[in-house]
Amino acid sequence: MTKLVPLLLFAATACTSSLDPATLIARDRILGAKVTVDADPSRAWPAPGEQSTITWITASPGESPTFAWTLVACPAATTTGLPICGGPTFAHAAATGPVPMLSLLVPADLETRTIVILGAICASGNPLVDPETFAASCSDGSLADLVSQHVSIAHEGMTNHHPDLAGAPFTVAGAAWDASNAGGCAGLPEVAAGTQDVILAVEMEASTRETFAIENDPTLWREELMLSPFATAGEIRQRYAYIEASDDRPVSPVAVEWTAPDAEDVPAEGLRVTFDFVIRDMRGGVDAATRALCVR
Amino acid sequence: MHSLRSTLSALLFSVTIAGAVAQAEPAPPTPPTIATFVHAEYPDAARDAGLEAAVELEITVGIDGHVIDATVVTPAGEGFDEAALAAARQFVFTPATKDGQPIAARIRYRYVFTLEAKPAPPAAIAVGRIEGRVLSRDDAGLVGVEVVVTAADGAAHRVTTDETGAFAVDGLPAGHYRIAVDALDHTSFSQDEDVIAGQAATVTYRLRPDAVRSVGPSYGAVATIEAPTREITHHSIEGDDLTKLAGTRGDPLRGLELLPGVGRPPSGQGMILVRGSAPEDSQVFLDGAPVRQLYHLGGLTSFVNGSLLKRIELFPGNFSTHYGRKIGGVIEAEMRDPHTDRFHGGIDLNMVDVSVLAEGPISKSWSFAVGGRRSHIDAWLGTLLRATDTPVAATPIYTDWQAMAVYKPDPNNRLRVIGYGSTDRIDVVVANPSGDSTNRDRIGVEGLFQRLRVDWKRTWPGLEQEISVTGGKNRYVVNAIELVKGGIDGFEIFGRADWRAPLAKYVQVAWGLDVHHLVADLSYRGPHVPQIEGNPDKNYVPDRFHQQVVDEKDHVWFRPAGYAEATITPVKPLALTGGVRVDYFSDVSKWTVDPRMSGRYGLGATTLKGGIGRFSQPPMEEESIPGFGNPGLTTQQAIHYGLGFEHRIRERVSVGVDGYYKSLDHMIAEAPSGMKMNTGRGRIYGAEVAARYQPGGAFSGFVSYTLSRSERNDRGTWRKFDYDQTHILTVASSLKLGGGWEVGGTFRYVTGNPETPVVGSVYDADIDAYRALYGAVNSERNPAFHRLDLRIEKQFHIAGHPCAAYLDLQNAYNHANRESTDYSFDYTQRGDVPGLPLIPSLGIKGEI
Repeated sequence: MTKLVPLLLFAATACTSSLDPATLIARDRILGAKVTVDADPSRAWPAPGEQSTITWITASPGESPTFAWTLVACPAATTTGLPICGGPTFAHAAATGPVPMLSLLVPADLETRTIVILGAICASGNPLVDPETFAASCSDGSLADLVSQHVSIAHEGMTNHHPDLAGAPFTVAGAAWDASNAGGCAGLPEVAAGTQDVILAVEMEASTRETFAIENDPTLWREELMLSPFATAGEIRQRYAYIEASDDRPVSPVAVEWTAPDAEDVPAEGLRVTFDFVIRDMRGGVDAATRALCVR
Repeated sequence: MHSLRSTLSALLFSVTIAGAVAQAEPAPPTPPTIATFVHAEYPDAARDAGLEAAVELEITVGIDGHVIDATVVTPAGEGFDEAALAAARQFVFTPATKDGQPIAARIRYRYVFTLEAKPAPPAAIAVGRIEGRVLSRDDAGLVGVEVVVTAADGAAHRVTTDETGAFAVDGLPAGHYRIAVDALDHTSFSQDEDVIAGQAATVTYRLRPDAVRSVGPSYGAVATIEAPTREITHHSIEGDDLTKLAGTRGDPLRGLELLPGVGRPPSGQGMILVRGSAPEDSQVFLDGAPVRQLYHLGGLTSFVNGSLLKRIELFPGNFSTHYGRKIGGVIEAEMRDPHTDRFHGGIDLNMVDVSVLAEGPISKSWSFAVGGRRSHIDAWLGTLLRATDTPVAATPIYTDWQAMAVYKPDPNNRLRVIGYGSTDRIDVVVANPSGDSTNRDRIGVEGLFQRLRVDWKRTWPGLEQEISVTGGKNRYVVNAIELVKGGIDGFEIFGRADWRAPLAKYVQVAWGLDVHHLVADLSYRGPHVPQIEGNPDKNYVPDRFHQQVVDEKDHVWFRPAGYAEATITPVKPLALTGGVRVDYFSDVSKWTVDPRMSGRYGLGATTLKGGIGRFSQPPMEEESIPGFGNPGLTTQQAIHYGLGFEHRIRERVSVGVDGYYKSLDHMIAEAPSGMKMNTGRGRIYGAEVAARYQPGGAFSGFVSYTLSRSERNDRGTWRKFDYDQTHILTVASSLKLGGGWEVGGTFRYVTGNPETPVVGSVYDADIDAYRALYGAVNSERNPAFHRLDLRIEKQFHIAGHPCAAYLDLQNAYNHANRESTDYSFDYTQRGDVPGLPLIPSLGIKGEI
């Protein structure tokens, strides 16, 4: 048991140098993957024989790029460590477009309860994957993102639905914060340059968190939700924020703090900062939302 | 419970057998007598302060009458201990004998320091003098005998006889005095004398020889059976080095890290790395009982007050059959007996913790010591980290305590009742000022152990026996975020019975039993715990869907052992020791038989030595628990080979070289399925060079250099051990400048630890995190580590009470040592994780 201590303290204290934070969108990024059953897009767990689509959630500091991807689906191996295939691939996609995706038909005779999606995604150029080393690059020499996503298969009547982040109410510094598709700063909430610890919050209803049981554990758990926040400028203090399984309130807030960029980094007409939020129920259910504000 | 009864029964049976052996005891041996007495150098600061003292020593006298070893049993501080040791090491004795043959012996000796009385002013001759000689029955002057002159009001004057047996006490007010004479090997004696102002009372005392006698609680002279050195390599810390090594903040157990063969742990990780072995492969013992946790969490300090320790010894390999259940090295810390001359109280306050200690006599036969410590770093560290906007605030809080009562009815018996314990708590709180969530901003670790120990040491002519039972509670809880909880909570008892005796003129034997019995509840809920060593992936990812859930109640680990060793000395310079240890491990249902042997050959000031032995170690407690570990595991094995020599260049100066090879087999490693298996192997080899200038004068120090290589093979490929350190160089010294000033420094150079390169990463969309792709395990290295620590101490007196202020500077030139590599979230950027910067620690301590 004592072996755990250095591991945990290492995890808690390792962030000691000034490297790019995970929450800053400084390049074209993959932020998650959402599995939807074509027949019922609210479901995250397809059943054997069902057609499904895995859509990759992306973010970019500028205009939306065109991605190129190579993705495969296979039964997941039960080994520890990095996700790998435990059987032959049964779906494959190599394409370009604004949103990386993979359509697959879950084999009706699938014997495992989990499949894994593996692949490489390039924001420019085409992915080149070395099957021996699993190393990947893009044809233009840029860095490819190797990706993995597990997909749970519905079984014995058990399934899972996505949480609803897109419909949840957001606030910035306590004021309502709605989505906006307008360009520039028009109509956006405004924050003064250099403002510290601006609270960005969203409230999730309990009804969006399902209850479930897991193997070897009689406890009936309520889903926990993990919120991943991202911003194109400024600094978000928390990489993740949570609504715990033990939280039984009808409506649960989850918040992070953001510090606006300094005045010298803000143009005279104001700086539009885009925020991407991805929420996970840690059982394969995922949803995403985007907000923006203006820094002056 | 059945096993617990068996444990106690075995120990009681052992006591009975020992008693029976004792009844058939041979004739008493004669103790050694002083042939050449050496006067100690009076410490300048003590002389200036008008201090007198007595230092109780334990002296080992070889069969040629020379002092083999001398250690301080009851220290007096103020430089008296070093001075007494330096003098005692130059004593020459007429050796002890048995059946007319000289034998090695260990004796207690009380070295008394008294100031020479200043001549009384002529105008006020209201004082007198007692002078005289202490003689043996054949009128030979007895050297180094303590003479105590006690006035009616209790004021005592202590002096020691010179080379002719003469003594004198000046400046005695006229009156009635009791003179007590206590010689090493003669009957104690006392007589009343009158002192007349302006006159000298001249006395002559003849003492009757007495081989075995009782002389009261403070010292005695009893020949004991001295076991030959069984370990071919051992390093010790004693004297000033215990509490004054620079960079250790006065913690003697921290000084262990400076000894030859001991690696450097990463900053903040309290672990002992002995000769390329994993931390869990070595064991610390306190008076022969295993210690579960040497350092408080965070590695700041060890769990026991350093001023209660008499000596620390490191056996980096090839250790005696007396020790078992480990395949690495052994560290033995020995607690000293409390002071018996008067009551002492002390306090030590520094920037990390505060400790107090009180000790003294209770009666003629009883003495006591109590001490305690509490950290106060939690009072200011959190504030400091918040002020510097550090997102993680770790607040280590620890306490420890020790209490001891010692009963010595005579020099042949010692009974001790000792209690000690330690508590630890660390809360790592990640900043979460928005407040409304979450349990995930907290990582908590709590540890506690409490021990009660009873030991009895009995010496008969021709036999030594020591019985001890140590037991108490363990509790250890890890609570990290909401998805990881684990703990062990139980009771542990360790019993040991040791005997040592000469079997024949050239044969000495030692044998014993020890039993380790643990009953505990073990619980765990969290992700699979991966192999730690040799696994670069430190991402411990909570995962509710692949959790291990273990709730094991009253699990029993019963581990009895028996061991025996014999040392044969066919010719005087050659000593061959052979022994065997038999262990049983109930948790893996395994018997092990470990034969070990060593030899020493003396060539004047040089001793050649070598040894080979087999060592066995069970899995850690949780590793064989069904559901958490693998109940099919078996013991890990090692063969140790060692060869070397020691050479004494001159008094207090020695040098030694040791070469070693360790072969490890059945090491626990993780299979691709995640199951722990005994599939690993290992090999460790190297050489150590140590030169030492022992404490005892103004200067002391040591230089040690270790060249080593430690490798493991988990699944068919050899790789470097996580803490493989090719070069380890330590230079440590201290110098007394006079006037109470003392300075010391420690420099360390250590090859950087191996590191595994990151060659890429995979974005894991399940958890929104990149996971590293690693190259060959431990195929790169950190830059070398080097650091200079300095310590300055000033001793002074306040109202006659000795005090000291000290400044301990860790990393005095503020070198930015790189401990490991930090990566950006997607592993595309890398940075350095620095070690500790310059850390000053200011402290003050005082004694009442």
